[in-house]
Amino acid sequence: MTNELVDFALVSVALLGIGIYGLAVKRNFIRMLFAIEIIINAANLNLVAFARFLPDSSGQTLALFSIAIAAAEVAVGLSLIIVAYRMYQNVDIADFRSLKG
Amino acid sequence: MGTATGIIRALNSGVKHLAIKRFTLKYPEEKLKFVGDGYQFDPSTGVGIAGLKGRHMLFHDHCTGCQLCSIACEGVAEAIAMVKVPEDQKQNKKSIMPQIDYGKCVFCGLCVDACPFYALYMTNDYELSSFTKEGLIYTPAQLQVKPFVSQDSEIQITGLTVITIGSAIAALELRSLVYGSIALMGTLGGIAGFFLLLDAPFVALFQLAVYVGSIAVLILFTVMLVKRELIFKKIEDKRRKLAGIGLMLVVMMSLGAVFLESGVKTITTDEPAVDFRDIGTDFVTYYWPALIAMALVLAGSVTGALVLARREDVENDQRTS
Ligand code: SF4
Ligand code: SF4
Repeated sequence: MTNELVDFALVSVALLGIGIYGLAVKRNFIRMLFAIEIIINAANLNLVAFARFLPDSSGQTLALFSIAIAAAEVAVGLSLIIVAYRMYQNVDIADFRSLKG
Repeated sequence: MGTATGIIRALNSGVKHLAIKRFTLKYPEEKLKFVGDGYQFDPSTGVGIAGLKGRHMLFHDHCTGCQLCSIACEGVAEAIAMVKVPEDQKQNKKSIMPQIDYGKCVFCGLCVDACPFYALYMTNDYELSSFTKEGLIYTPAQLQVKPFVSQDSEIQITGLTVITIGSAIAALELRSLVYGSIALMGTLGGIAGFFLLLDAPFVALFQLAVYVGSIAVLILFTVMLVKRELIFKKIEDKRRKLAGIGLMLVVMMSLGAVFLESGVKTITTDEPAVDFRDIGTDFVTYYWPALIAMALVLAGSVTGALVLARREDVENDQRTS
């Protein structure tokens, strides 16, 4: 291994930063979903990178779990988007305020 | 008075040194970067090609066993011994090749100059330590091995970083949501590339199949369901954007600094990558309850998603699903 763990860790930090920026700034539900995906991927990258360098197989196992759960999360998120879109004809989360119980 | 100024001056000079770039490398976390491939010599023109004088490299298909390298070394260090090799090279009738004892070699490079057949060069490999004296004696077979100084993977990682981070930004900033989701595919694919670099081909495939293959496509379809003008509409305000950029920078700086200062930099490994069969074993032994729980969660969420999306009656605002 010539690549160093720090490189991968820094890439994932950068992705995390971008994702947090997206979550904080965007009010488009779909864009926020993008941002969440980016954050999850940053976490996965970290898991696999540490798993490679320690080396330990659990990291990869957990990354696989995380990918699978992310798939479920996206499915639910998208169906929520569709429902909310039907109700409001918009994807701006500021309009979804009345979804609060 | 004198003590006070003394303390201030000492603090001052100490603080100054915090800002000065250090002159030395923090070996072994940092290593020398080389330009060329090491010292070489071209006997036809009699010109040496500058480079680091590190471990030698012997090209078995060029070496004729003429012993000139060994003779050149005799006056210097007597580090080269000619030994029998168990192979038949047609230019090397005697089947003898140099064996170098790095316990004696002074890395003068005279042997490289002496070789008339382009058979002996030096490389950038300078980390030759060994626990035994015998470990320092490199046989012709060991000298044949090209030292592992790979620059390729660095290029790969830089390229991947550019692709991944660039398309992550594009996914969030592109005006059209459709292009945004295509850019998101780039990010996800880039991450899969990182997994490949990290010797995790199984996770990389999984990433490609689940993320790029299904999630990204799912998102793309949802995007196409919403009204055209919404795809292009930008909903965000300026002040929030500045605050968001500030937040991003704070997160990046602080976490980056934590990583750079922590022990993460010193972690390197020479061990082989984890076999993906181990992952399978993990799944069915230690993690089996989690596996079953995940299956349930997945099934539940997919059913829930279907139920949510199919409800036609959620037209008015009062009903929340
Ligand atoms: S570089 Fe080493 S092996 Fe070659 S001549 Fe000098 S001392 Fe001998
Ligand atoms: S390395 Fe060069 S000088 Fe040495 S024996 Fe082989 S051909 Fe001759």
